Amino acid sequence: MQGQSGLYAIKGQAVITALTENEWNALSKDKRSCVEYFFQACETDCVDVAAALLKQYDALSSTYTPRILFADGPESAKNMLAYLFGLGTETKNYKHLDVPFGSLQAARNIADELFMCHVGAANRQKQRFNGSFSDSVRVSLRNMVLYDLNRSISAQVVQPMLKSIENAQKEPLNGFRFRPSIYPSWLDADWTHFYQLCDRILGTQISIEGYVTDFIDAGGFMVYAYDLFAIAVPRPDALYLDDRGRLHSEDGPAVRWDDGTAIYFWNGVEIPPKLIEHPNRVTRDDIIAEKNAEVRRCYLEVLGSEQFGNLLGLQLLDQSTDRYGNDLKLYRTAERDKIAGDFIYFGAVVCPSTFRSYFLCVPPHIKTAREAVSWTFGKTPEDYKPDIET
Amino acid sequence: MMYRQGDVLVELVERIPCESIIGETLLVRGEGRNHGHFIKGSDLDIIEADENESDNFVTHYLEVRSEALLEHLLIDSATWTGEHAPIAIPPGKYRVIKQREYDPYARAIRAVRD
Repeated sequence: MQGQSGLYAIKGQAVITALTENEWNALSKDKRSCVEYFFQACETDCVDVAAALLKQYDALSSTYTPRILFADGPESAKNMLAYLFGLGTETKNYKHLDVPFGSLQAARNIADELFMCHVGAANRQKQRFNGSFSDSVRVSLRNMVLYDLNRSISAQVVQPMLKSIENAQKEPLNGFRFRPSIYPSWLDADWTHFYQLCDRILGTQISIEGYVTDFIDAGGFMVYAYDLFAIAVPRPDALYLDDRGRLHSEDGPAVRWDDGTAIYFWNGVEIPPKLIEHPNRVTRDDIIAEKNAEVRRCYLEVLGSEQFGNLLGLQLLDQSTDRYGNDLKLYRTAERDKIAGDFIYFGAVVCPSTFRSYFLCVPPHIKTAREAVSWTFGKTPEDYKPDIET
Repeated sequence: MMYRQGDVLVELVERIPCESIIGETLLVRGEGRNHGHFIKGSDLDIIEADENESDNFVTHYLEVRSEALLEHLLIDSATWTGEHAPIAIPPGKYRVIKQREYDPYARAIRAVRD
């Protein structure tokens, strides 16, 4: 991911360097074409289209001059910010950024300015949301998923980004405050679509901030808004869910952007990338270091009981054979699991069809290997007597 | 009588407590994979287990009137997976149970991921 981010940082710089003072002053006044460009930027290749957009967008008549930068994803947005703030490898002094910024009002103003230009495109997009009731339900469900996603992005991408900027700038530089307002974003889709729904069904005519909805409906995901520029991030390029609508992918990131930003989920729980990309490299220390019970349960599920148990170290407690002479074994972890609060017990059985041995986790009250295998079907050893097994 | 095919147990019962007959022959689907346990026969009812039976991991009941076949098939091609040989199920009433596993962190029981 680091390598990919580097590539996109260069791509991001290409956009930024297209915004010299002279170029900015020479921008065309054809705002109408901006509508199309913004729309395309959200739908296709943000960076390339944005570069064209920025050459045509004339905002000089307003009291301030927003510069809209389009990132391919949160990771390249981070790189753009680092570059702009002189944290990148090629530090440059951008005079036009040398002003105080960061207020919420400024963020709202710039977002307003930013999205005024694409109302036409947003209206076209919004037709999809103005349809049936079921569409609205779908939107609501999607927003629930994206709430989790945004929370993860905030924790994984945005907060570290802010921290790195703060760490690099112990003292404010020329009055800079490096705190962007991340508004609007998909998080706002919750309330905007709720009010839209109320309006449509109940005719409440509640006034909502239209540009927020426009932004979301046009494919925007989040904005880092400053006084003099904003970085817009489009929605993810791929997003996978399980059958219960939770973020989930078994063979790659559940959410990813083209810039290399990748976030991994297992049935709605965010997990370390290594667990999916390189499960064979997971170590005992990885499991022990994980203090979150939900995530540790994911380790157990993804790795399977056998690898999980072997990594933790096992003691054989009981041994027996089934009617075919195959081994049945009961193991327990060598040490108490601090998160589970007990030893973890595994029944090891042999598949009569493939003769492969596999492990199943069983409760701590299980005392024998026979009891373990029968418990997995809700039976006692006396009850569990299959006539045929394949 | 009791038959086990992989992570599915089919056992003879005296009566069937549920009534919801369904046409779907796929009894248990492999988690995220293209295989499942199917019941095929010329004269049988497949009855979906009630919600309150899910705690016991009972997925279905079967009313088999002429011999049926429990098969482990690829879902997209309906061909044998090569694992878990077919089992002939004689006429009778049966309960289908999915294998389960303990979750030590949630201290809960969940279905095995096959």
